[in-house]
Amino acid sequence: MRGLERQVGRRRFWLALALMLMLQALLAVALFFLQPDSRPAAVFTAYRYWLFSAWMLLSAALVIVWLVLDRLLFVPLAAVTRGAETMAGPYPGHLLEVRRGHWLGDLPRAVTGLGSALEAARDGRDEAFAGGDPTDHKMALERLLNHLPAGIIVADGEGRILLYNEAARHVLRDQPALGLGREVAEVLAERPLRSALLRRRRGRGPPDQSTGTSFVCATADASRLLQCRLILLDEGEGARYVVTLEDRGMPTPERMGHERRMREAVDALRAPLAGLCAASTAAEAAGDEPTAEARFRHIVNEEAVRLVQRFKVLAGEAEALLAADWRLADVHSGDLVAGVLAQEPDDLPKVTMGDEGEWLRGEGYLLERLLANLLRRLRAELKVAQVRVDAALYGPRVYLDLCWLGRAVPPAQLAGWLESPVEDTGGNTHLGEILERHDAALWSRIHPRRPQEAMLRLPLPAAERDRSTVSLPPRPAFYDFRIGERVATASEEAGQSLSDLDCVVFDTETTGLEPSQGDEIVSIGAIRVTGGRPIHGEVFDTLVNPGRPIPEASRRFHGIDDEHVRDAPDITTTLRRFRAFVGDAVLVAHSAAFDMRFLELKERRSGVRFDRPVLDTLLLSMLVYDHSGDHSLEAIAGRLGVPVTGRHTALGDAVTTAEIFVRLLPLLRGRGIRRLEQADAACRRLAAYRMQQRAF
Amino acid sequence: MAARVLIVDHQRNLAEALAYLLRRAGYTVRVAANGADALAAAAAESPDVVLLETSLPDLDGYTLYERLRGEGAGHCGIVVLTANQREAERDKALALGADGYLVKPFDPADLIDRVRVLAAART
Repeated sequence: MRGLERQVGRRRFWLALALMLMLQALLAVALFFLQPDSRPAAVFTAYRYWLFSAWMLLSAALVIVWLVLDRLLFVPLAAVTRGAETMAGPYPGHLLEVRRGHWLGDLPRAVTGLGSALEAARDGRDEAFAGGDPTDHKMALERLLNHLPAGIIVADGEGRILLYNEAARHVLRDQPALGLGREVAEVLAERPLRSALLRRRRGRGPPDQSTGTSFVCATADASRLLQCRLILLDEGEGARYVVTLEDRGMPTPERMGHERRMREAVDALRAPLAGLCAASTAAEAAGDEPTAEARFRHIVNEEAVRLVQRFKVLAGEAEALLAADWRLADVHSGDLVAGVLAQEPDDLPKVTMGDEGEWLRGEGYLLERLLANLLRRLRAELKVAQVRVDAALYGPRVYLDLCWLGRAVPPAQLAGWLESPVEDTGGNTHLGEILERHDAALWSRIHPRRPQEAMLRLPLPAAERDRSTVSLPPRPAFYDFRIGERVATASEEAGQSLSDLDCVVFDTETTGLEPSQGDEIVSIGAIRVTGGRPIHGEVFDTLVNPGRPIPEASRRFHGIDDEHVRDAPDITTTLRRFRAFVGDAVLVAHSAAFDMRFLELKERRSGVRFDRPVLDTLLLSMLVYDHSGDHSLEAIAGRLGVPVTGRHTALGDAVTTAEIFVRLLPLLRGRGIRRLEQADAACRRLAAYRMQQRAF
Repeated sequence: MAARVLIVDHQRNLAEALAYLLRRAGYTVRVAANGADALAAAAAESPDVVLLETSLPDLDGYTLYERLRGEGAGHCGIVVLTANQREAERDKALALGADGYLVKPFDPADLIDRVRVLAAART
């Protein structure tokens, strides 16, 4: 709040100075026209002239001195003070925003030196910590949690989520309410969970406590069934508990349809088969009755035709079912190659990875065998010494290219390879069969961009992973065991410490700047901030179909065009999901009024109300950095050492804003702004002050 | 007197072949292609053995089964012929009092054996 007072103070000073000068001018004019009788007119005129000139000079000198002092001393001093606060707080590497020609002497250099020394000291401390046991153990635990294939949620006695791992996030990827401090019942159906808890607490589970209680539970929106297990961490009514989650591939509608049609197709064979058996037996028995025998032979033929028709249906369903569910899993191309090299390096060419690889969907072991087989044949039959493996994503497929210097594999030779059996695959599996089971093909040609190279191209199904447009820094696990201590009721919220608040920092991309003139949202990105840190695994990122064309200017700004949003959900659906993601969190945005205006204008149509308190990082930055007029996202990010990624994507800007927000918190504390109500009040006062300024 | 067998099945070819085989084995056979015909035939001739397909065009097989038991075929042996091989269906049929459960396709000789045992117990 001191920042705002300082700004108001400066403004008052300039007003007072202007008033004083006006008064002086008035006085001078009054004196000028005054005609005392006692002195000769000429003397008086000269006296008035000199007096007036002296006044004018004095006033001008006063203004100039003040301007010089302000520019060369006061403003640089304010910049050094803000900078020193930033260095002592979130970012020791802060660059002082001091213009050349200031009168502060070596002070800025000394402060910058102090910042550098502080940064080095902090780095040293972090390194020392990193080498120590506790951090090691913590990181090892985080890695372990994230490599567990099962989803894990830890909740306190009230059912609030204290921890969840990457697998839980994947299993519950369609539940926007998943987040630290949120209720487990917001992501899992409450009744089965409560019943499992009761059974566990009453000791009705199996005798071995460590195995917990197994139960099947639907997601909160009842879209999928999960296999769960519940283990109590403590004793008594308020005991914390762990729920493990596995998406056991519970029947999807598609899969259930396959199964039903398969059953029907099998059952449909039974009737003609029964008729066939009976008619054939009867024909044999009717050897002494030619008419009856001929009749039953006719029936045999009729039933055989029906059988063939129904068999075709069955065969089609069986094929579809096999292709749909064939132990397929997400596997990384790099892991496939590493798996091949780990087992049989002797008779293979030298293999390198041409890129970082891609995630694909397949049966890992069979794909390894297939790759090993191809590599071995390249070495043995084409004398290839070195192969580079490239992987590129093209729509729903990953192209796995084996590239080498030399000629392509002739089609006849390749056809021979496809018919050859693959060793160690159980039974007589052919290369071609492995390809068929992955709905893949294999061909060889000259490399399209490197004519001296040949390649074998193997298109495989891409993994069904969410691909975020912004690469987020990896965050091993998502946990906060202090949630129980921080949770506040609505009345307590205003008095809650800012760094304890559960916030959702968001940004929107739009078709234009005028929501009241029909501009619409085309993308919403958000990230949760809990306990004063952004939780990179808890993000909301979606395109929105605006229901109108996106103007060229906006398209150039954010890169989203009509084609991108054609299949995206409409604003009502998106706002409902976003509201569920926000829950009870406080909203934070940069220049929040703009984004909130878009949300508010949709309130009536969507029925979704965003009634949570809103904080604006632009106003918060003005409170902290009162010496500067530049409060753009880039400028603040630069001051606070926040790397800017994915600028002008909703999620990218939300992440940058979140990093800025958490770094502003300690600086706000230094200004006496510690609680939500104080931040809210300061933002309101500053907004009102800006409105007044604009009115001038 | 020859035992009477009622075949209730809408699958014409199967019913015809079974009827021929059973007649040759010495039974008096009547064929009904739906539930209504089956009830009428059972009331008229009180069969000793009923071969009953559970999925009929006009009546649920188990409904027909209960009504047969109530109307003139109370004492008869009933063998269920079905394309449904689920264990639960078999349990249900036997629990409701069926004397046999044959999943299609079956060996006609097996069926005639069962008919013979059931008919012998009732004549």
